[in-house]
Amino acid sequence: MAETLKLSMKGIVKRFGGVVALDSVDFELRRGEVMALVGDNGAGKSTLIKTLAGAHMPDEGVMELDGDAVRFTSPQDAWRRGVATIFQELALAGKMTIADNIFLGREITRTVAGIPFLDRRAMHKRSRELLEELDVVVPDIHTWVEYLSGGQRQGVAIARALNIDADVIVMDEPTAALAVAEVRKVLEFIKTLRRQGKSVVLISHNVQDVFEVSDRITVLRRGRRIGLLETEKTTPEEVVGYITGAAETKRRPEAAH
Amino acid sequence: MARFAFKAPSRPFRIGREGLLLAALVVLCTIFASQSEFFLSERNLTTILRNSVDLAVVCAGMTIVIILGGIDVSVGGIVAVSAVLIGRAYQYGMPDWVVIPVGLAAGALLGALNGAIISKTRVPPIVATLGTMYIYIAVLFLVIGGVWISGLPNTLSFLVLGDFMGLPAGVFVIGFIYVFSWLLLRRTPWGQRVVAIGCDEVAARLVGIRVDRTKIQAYALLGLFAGIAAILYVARLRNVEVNIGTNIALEAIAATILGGANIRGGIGSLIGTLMGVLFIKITQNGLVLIGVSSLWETVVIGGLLIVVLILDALETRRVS
Amino acid sequence: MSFKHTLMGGVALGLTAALPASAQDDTTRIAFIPQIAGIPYYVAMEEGAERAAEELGVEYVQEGPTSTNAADQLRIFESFVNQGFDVIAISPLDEETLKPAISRALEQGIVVLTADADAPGSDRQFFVAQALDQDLGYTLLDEAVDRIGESGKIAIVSDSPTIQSMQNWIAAIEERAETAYPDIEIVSVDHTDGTAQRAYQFATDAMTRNPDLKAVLGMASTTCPGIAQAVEAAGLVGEVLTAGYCSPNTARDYIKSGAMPYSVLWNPADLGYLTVWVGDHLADGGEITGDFEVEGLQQTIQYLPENDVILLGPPAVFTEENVDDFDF
Repeated sequence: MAETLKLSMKGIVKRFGGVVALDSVDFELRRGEVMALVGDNGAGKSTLIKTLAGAHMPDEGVMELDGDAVRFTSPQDAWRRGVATIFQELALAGKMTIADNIFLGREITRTVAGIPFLDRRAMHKRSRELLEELDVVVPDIHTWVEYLSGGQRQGVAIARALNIDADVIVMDEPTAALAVAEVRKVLEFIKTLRRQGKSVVLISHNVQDVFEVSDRITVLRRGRRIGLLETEKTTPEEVVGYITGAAETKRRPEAAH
Repeated sequence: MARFAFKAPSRPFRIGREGLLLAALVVLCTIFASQSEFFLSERNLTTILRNSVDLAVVCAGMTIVIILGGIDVSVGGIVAVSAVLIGRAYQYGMPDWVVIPVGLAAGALLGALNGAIISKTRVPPIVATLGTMYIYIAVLFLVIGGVWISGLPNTLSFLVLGDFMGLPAGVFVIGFIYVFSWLLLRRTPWGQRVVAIGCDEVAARLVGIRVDRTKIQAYALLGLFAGIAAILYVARLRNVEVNIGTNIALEAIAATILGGANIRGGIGSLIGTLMGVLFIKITQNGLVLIGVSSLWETVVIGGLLIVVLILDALETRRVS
Repeated sequence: MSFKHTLMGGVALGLTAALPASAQDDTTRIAFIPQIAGIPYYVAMEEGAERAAEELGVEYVQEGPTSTNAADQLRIFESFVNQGFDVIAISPLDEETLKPAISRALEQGIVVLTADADAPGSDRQFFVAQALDQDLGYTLLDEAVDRIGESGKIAIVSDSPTIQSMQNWIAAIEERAETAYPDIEIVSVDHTDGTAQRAYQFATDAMTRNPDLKAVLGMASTTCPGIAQAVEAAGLVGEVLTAGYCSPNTARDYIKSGAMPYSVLWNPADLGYLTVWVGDHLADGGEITGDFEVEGLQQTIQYLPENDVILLGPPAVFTEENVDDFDF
C-alpha cells in the first residue's frame, strides 16, 4: 500500500495473569476512515482500545503512528500525540459548563501580574466554533454538562478532542443508551469528523450503526482479529456471523462439537 | 443536515440557595431587631463582624476543599497548633514579622500533610482528617505543656479590632481573603481543576489533571487560612487556651454547607459560605441580645442545616 | 457535647491506657482525676499533691480527660479502679455519670473522695473542699459590690452547664444578690464551649444588650481572659468590671491592666496537698471526726459533718497587691 497508514498495531499481545486478552492482534486505521471495531463481550475490544488509548501497555507487539513507532505510557500521552479516546464515561465534569469542559486541563490563559487567569472569552469563542463545526446544538455555552442530553455530551466530548487537534478519535460505544434521535445525531458527528479528514475508531454493539457510518469493520473474537471487512462489500448477517463465531463454524465444521 | 433541538434546562437556579439564605438572614435579623433595640446598633454590627473574621477566613478554605470533594475536620487542630506556635514565638520575644510567617507556615504544612495523606493513601478525607485531628490536638498538649499561654502582645489586634477608612478592619481582611479565593477558584486553571476533581475524579485524571498535587495544594490553602485565623485569634484574645479551635471545624463545615456547597463535591459558593458564617454569628449574637439561652443556638443552626440538606436532596432527585 | 470534645476525649483514653501499671503492694497508691488535663490550675494542684506524696511516702498519679468530657472521666476512673489503686479522688464533671462507678469502687474497698468539686448525691466518703461553694459565690459578689456599689446589672459567663461546681457558684451568687443586694440584677448566664473566643463573644453581647452593665463575672479559668479582653476591646475598662474564679497566672495581665481588678480562688497546691493527706490517712485506717491540723498547711482544717466535707479554708482573693506571690 503506497499510502502510509494513520495508525497500525501489529502482533499486540496483552495478558492478565494467565488469561490472554489479546492474542497477537493486528489493527489498522487509514486517514479519514471510520473503522468500526466489533465483537462480543470479552472479545478483547476494550482491552485493545485501552492499549490504543495508553491505559494499558501491551506485553508484545508494535504500534505505529504516521509510520513512526510509538509507545503510549498514559492516556494523556496518547492525547498529546493526537489519539483521543472518548470512553463511555466521557470524562466530563457534570457541574462545569460546556466551554469549561472542552478546555478542561488545557485552559487558555491570559497572564495578568504574573498570574495565569482564564481567558473565558477566548475559550467561549473557540468552543462555539468547535460546536458549530460539529453541528452540535446546545441551548447555551454556559449550561452545565450535567443538564445536557447524552448526544449533546458526546458532542462536547468530541469537541474537546478536536480542540487538541486530535486526528485519531476513538469512540467507545457512543450510541449505547441513547434515544433514537440522539443516536442519529451522534452518527452525524462521526460523518462530520470523516469529512474533516479525521480517522475514527467506532466501538459498537449495534451493527446497524456500524453499517451506517463505517468504511471498514474489524471483528474481534476471543482475543483475535478474525475479520477485516469492507463495509460496502459485506452484509450485517456476515458480520454477525463473525461476531458470534458462526462464520468460523461454517468454515471449520469439525470444531462444531 | 437536520438540526436537532435538544431540550435541556440551562444552569441550575443557584440563586435559590443564596436567596434562601438571604431570606433566612433577613428573617433572623428582623426577629432580633424587633426584640432588641441594640441589635442593629453600629456597635453591635461591628461586634458581629469582628467575631466572624476568623471563622470566615477558615470557611473560604473549607469551601474550596468541599468543592474539591474533600472535607477537613482537623482544621480546629490546625488553628490550635498554629496558635500555640505563634504564642511560643511571642514568648521567645520574636517580632511580628517572624511570628506571622511561623503561623502561616505551620498552618500550610499541616494542611499539606492532610492533603498528602488523603491523596497518597486514598483514605476517605473525613477519616484521614479525623486521624490528624487527634495528632494535632496531642501536639497542642505537648507544646502547651499544661501551661496556658497568656498575656501575649496585641500589636496585631488592629487587624480585627481596628478601623480602616471608617470600616472595621476585619471587613478588609474578609474582603481580601474572599476576593483572593474567588479569583483563584473561578478565574484560574487551578480553580477549574478543583471543580473538575470535585465533579469526577476519574474524569479529571483522564484529561490529565494532576489530581494528587491539586488536592495537596487545596488542603494546604485551607491550612494556610487556618494559620491566618490563628494569627487573628491570638491577636484579638492574646492567649492560647487548651480548648482553642474547639468547634471551628464544625462551624466551618456548617457555614459552608449552609452556603450551598455540596458535600459530594463540585458545587459551592464563596458568597453563600460568607452568608452562612454571618447566619451562625448573627444567631449566636442575637440570641444573647434577646435574652434567649445560648443553648438554642445549636437548634437554630441545626434546623436550617436540615432544611438546606433536604433541599439539596430534593434537587439531586429532580436532576437524576 | 462538641465534636472536638469527643476527639480530645479519645486522646485522653490513649494516655490513660499508656499509664505504667506499677503495683507495689506495700505502698499506698493514690490517684486523682481532675476535670481536665493540662490546665495550670490542676498542674498546681498536682505539685502540692506530689509534695505531700513525697513527705508521706505514698505514690501519686494524676490523670484527667483532655476536655471536659464526663464519659472520658468515667473511663479514667474505672481504669484506676482496675489498676487497684487504694485511694481515688476525683473532681467530678457530672455526678450522675459517676455515681454507680463510685459505689462499685467502694465495694471493692477503695477509698473514694471527691476533691475540688463534689458529687453530693454519690456514696463518696468525703469531699475535700477548697472552699465552700457558698463562700466562693458570696466572696466574688461581695468583692464586686465593693467596687461597683450595691446596685446595677451583672452578667455571668460560665463554662459548660454540666460542671456542677460552677452551677453551685452561680446559684450562690444569685442567692447572695437576692438576699443581700436587692438592687443588683443578674441579667444573664451564658455557657461557653471552653474557648476564650466564645467568652469574649458572650461578654461583648452582654455589654451591647445592657449598655448600663456594671460587671461581667467569669466562672472558670477558661472564661476569664475572654471577658477581660472583651472589656478592653470595647474600651470600657473602669466602666465595666470583670472578675471571676481564675488562677493568678491567667488573670495577672488583666489584674494589672485594671480590666479584671481581682480574681477569687484558693491555693490549689494546698488543696492537692490536703487531698493526698486525707487519702493516705483514710487508707491507713484513720478516721476524721472533727477539725484537725495538717503538717505542711498553715490553717486549721475544718470538718463539716453534715455533708462529710473537709474544708481547706476561706477563699483567697488575688489582687494587684498579692498576685505576683502565686504561680499557677
